[in-house]
Order: sequence, then C-alpha cells, then structure tokens
Amino acid sequence: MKQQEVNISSQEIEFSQTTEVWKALEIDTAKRQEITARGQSDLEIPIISVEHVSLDYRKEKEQLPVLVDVSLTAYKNEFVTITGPSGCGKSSLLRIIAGLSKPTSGVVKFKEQPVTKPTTQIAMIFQNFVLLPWRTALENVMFGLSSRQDLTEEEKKNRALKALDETGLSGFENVYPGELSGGMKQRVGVARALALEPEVLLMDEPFSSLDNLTAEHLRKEIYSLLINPTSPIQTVLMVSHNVEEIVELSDKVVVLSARPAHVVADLKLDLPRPRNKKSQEFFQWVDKLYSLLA
Amino acid sequence: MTKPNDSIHTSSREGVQSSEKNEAGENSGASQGNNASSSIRPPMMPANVRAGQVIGLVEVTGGLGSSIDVSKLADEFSANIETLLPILDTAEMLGLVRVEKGDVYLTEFGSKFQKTSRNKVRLVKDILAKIEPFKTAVELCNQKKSVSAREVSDALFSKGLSWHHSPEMNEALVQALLIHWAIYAKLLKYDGRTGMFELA
Repeated sequence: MKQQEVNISSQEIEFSQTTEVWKALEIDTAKRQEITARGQSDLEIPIISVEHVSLDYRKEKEQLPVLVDVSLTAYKNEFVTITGPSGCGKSSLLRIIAGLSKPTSGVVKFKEQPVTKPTTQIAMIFQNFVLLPWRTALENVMFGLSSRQDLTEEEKKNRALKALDETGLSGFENVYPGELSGGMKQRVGVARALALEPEVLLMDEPFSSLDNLTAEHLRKEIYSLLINPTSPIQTVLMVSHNVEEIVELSDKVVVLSARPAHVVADLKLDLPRPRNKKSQEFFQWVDKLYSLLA
Repeated sequence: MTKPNDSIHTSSREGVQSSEKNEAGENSGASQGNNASSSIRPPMMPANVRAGQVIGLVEVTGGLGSSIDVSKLADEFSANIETLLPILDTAEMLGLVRVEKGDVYLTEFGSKFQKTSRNKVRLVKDILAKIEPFKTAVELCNQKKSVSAREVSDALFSKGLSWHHSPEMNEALVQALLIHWAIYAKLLKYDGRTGMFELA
C-alpha cells in the first residue's frame, strides 16, 4: 500500500482523472475512498517516520523503560519540535532518529527506508557544539565530511568554506574553537552540518547553552538559513524545552510525558510567520504548551 | 575567571562615550568637562561584550517598537544589569542605540543594522577602526605586516590603556576582542596556527 502511495504522489496525478489509475492499481474501494478524501498533500511520504519506538536501559538485571511506543512523523518543509520534561528521553529519541543508537523495539524510517546507522542525509547539531579543540573551524567542518569518499579534499574544502560563509563565519576559517564565543562555536556546528548538504537536520537544544541575547538573533538567522528554497534541508527536528523558542520556530510540536516517555500531544502549530512574540495567539500557544508540560 | 579591572572599565565607559561623540562632533561641552581624561582617552571596547549580544539587543529593541525600558529589557532576557549595561554601552558606542533616562532608542543607523539580514557587523567596520584595541591593531598592522595580541596589548599599555592589570589577562582580553569583533567586521584577518593578525 505504501509503495502504491509513493507512485501516485510522484506522478502528480490529477484527482479528477484518477479512476483508471485506481483500477490499474487494484486498490480496494474503501481504501480508495479514504485516500481520495485525505487529499493529495497527505499522499506524500514522511521524510522521517518514527514508528512505535521503545527504548529500555538495562541496569544489571533491571530494565528501565525510557521511551514507550513513541510514534511521530516529519514531512517535507516541516519544522518539528520534540519537547518534554527534563530527563524524559528527548535526546535519546533524537539519537535514535540520527541512527546513533538503536531502539529496543520499533523503527525509524527516512523516506520509508529504516535508519539503522548514521547517514550523511541526516545531520545533527549538538547542545555543547562537539567541536574538536585541536582543529581550526575549517578543519572541524571538513572533519564532518570525512566519510564522504566520493569527494576530493579540494571539494571538501570548498564545501566547508561555503558552509562557513553561509553561517557568517567567513574570516574565521583558521580560528580554533577555544578562541570563539559560544554563538560562534554553534555557528561552526551548524556549518559542519550544512556542509553535508543533508535532507534532515536534527538539533538537540542548539541554543540552550547561549546567553539569551545571543540565542535571540542566532535562532532567527539559523531558521532563515535552514528554511529557504536554496537549502537542501527538507525537514528539521529539534529537541527543546524552551517554550517560547518552540512556539517561535515550530510547525509541529510533539510533547512527551515524564519518563517512561510516551507521546501526550502531537500538535500542528499554524501561527503565521514571522511570529509576533507579543501577540495574543503566541501567548495562547505558550500557555497551552506549559499546561501540557506541567 | 578574573573579572576585568572595574576602575579602568568604568572610567573608560564614561570616556568612550564622550570622546566618541567628540569625533562625531556631537558632544556637549558639559560631558567633556566632567571628565578631564575623556578628551585624551580614546574609546575603548568593553572587554566582555560579544557581537552576538549587541545584534540581539538591537533586534529586540527594534522588534518592540521605538523604545524599550532598560528594566524591561533586563526582564525580557533574564539578564542582570552588570551584564546588560556593557552591552548597552557598546551598542551606543557603535551608534546603534541611544540610552536616555532609562529608555533605549534605536538610532537610524541601528534600524539599518537591524534590517540587514547578513554580516551586520561589517556595517560597523569604520566605527570599530576608531575604537581601541582595534585602532592600535590596525596602526601596527600598517607598520608591519602582522602583529600578535601581545604586541597590541603592549602598545596599548604604553599608551596607558588596558583592560586588566595582569599583562597575561590583558593580552587574552585584547585577543578575544580582536577575534570577536575585528574579524567579523572584516577589519583584520587572523590565523590561529600562528597567533598573528593582519589587515583584512
């Protein structure tokens, strides 16, 4: 069934002319009506699909459940935020989506293909930057491209220089992380992710270790950098517990419960952009999320 | 971490503003007269303010209308006055905001800065070149191809200008200021492998 949906979507079939196609695909009547009712946009496959993911940590003979049957989807051009109480397993979930760790059960799919290990199509930005202190900014960004055997050193360098320029770090190529401010370090982290030209960007509390004024403008800059027609990034998944930041950036919010975490809400946040943090609608969303988190 | 020398920092704050206004030809005789040293002390950049903080301040001030109360600004960002005032001073020194009776106003230049989407700091390149330690760094780079932060801090110290009484700490503060502002503004280039600055 899924494969049939993909085919339909890719051929961009007009719904008024679909009867013959349905017959050809031999889809049963009930299913045909259901799909037609959902409309063409819903026929798109999710870029990221988390399906019934559970995670247990084992401590000696005990099993500690962390995530319980978590499911969520992220479609093209969606900015999805995962939030929940501290220690509920948000970052663990992001690491599973990145292919950095395996779930106890369930599956994560990238364009319908299971994610079982890290891939260059999914890049990640970390809360504490994770830069190599003995490498310059340029070398740190190039390091992210180490696994790309298909690129020459020259191509890697050009990609890294372009990514540094895009993140406003032109001129900082030969500066070491220890000489940079927190905001600049995170820009290097973003550049390292962008150089991969990934389709999915995962961000684990990317602004939480910055002071509020720095985070305020960096948030806007990074959002406009990620969500624009020239960017290869198709979807962004962010972990955050900053409610205002969530309402400012997200198209969709997935709220997890305290550990063991399960999904308590999956909300479409349809405020118009740019979002006015002083508007009544913005406050209402902030209130709503606080009430879900409290 | 050791804090910058408060006495130097505070006096430079007064002096920076008045002498900066002198250069712009906007200073009233009263503020120049209040501080005899201000007429000879060049503007000095506060040691711990980073470009990102000033950009954030300008964006927030511009986003909240024509002006914002300093106390509201502090509330908005959970920032204490000790943190916020040097950021305000820097923004004012760069001509981006005006602070009057506890209210922060965006200047015309500040408004242009706010609306610029990329590389905002390059807009203040010429202003930075008149502020220490950037002024001395550029002078030294004109004399010899490249300079270290130590050479810049020593030259400044010989002019009676420093951010900290310890030469090592002063050098570190000068280095951080040059990296965080002058490279962003494309005033200087820096190579971390040699520790040397050059004209951009």
